[in-house]
Amino acid sequence: MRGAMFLAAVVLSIGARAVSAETMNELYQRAKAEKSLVIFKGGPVVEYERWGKEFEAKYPGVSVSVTGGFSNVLDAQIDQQLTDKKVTTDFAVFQTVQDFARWKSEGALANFKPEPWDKIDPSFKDPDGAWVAVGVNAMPYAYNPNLVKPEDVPRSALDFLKPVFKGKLIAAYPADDDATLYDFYQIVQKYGWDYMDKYMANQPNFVQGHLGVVRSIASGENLATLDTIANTSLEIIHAGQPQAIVFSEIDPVPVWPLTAAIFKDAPHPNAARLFLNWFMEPEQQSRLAYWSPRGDVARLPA
Amino acid sequence: MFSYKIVNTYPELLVNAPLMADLRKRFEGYTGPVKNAGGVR
Repeated sequence: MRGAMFLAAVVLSIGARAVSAETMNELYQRAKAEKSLVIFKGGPVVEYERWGKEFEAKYPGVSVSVTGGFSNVLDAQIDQQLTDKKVTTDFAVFQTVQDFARWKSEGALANFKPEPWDKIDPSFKDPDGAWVAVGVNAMPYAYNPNLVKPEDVPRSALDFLKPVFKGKLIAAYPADDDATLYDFYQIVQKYGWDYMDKYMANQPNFVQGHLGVVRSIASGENLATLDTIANTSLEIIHAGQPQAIVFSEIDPVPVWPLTAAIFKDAPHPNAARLFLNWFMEPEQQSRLAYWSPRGDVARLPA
Repeated sequence: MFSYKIVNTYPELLVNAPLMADLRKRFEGYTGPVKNAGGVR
């Protein structure tokens, strides 16, 4: 009896893999007929240009174009496409998760659950499959290890109030960047709004977006930030520039999903589904410079 | 990831439009509007 159950399980397992493989092949054939895929990517764009080239090599005949920009600028462009009923974007990847909630309520998104849906943590997906996290980013601290003494390396938000950092701190604008707002909001919830008075008294600097934050620290123009995005700093570190990140053990490190969705009126919906399924495979997810939303891909940022 | 000390309430905050509007206004009161433009490339 146990042997029969085992055999049945093996048959089911083989059957499930075969169906999955067939689906990808079918998707590819349909995607190839569509010829292209248009991605809008919020934030630094180089990473997705690399993924686009890999995808093109894996699936010849499907070309990928990636438009990069700030999420809160690109979302307005998509809103205009939706208003004009001329959707040219297939697939969007933004930090502004509220856009996806709004687009879902407006019926603008196609429900699609990439494999393996059940491996994705519930906090990182819409239950109907309207949107899903394709990565999970963290917001640790960053500093220039050539310029910050070991004893001055920040360990909590309070350390950024020290005189050693006066005029040498940088962050994105919290009123402009939602991830930064989330970051600062955690701090004022713990330490009170009085923290902001003290932080501003230390004469910090601000720049639009996190690429400017990490480059400023690497150049030595500024020394540290409580507001980096882990993978943006890691790109700088991997490029050999001076930067180090710290995960506080005192203050909770904010994490947020990099969210993706396919538009219902996308001109290349099969190419978008193929890309999303491919991107969620362990081979790609295990090479992210941030965390995977898949519970079975354990790679940590390093 | 969950072995770190993290906070994972981002979506709940971002869909709270009245609170987000209030927070943006309050933080802008500290920093002023965007003056130092950045890029993505």
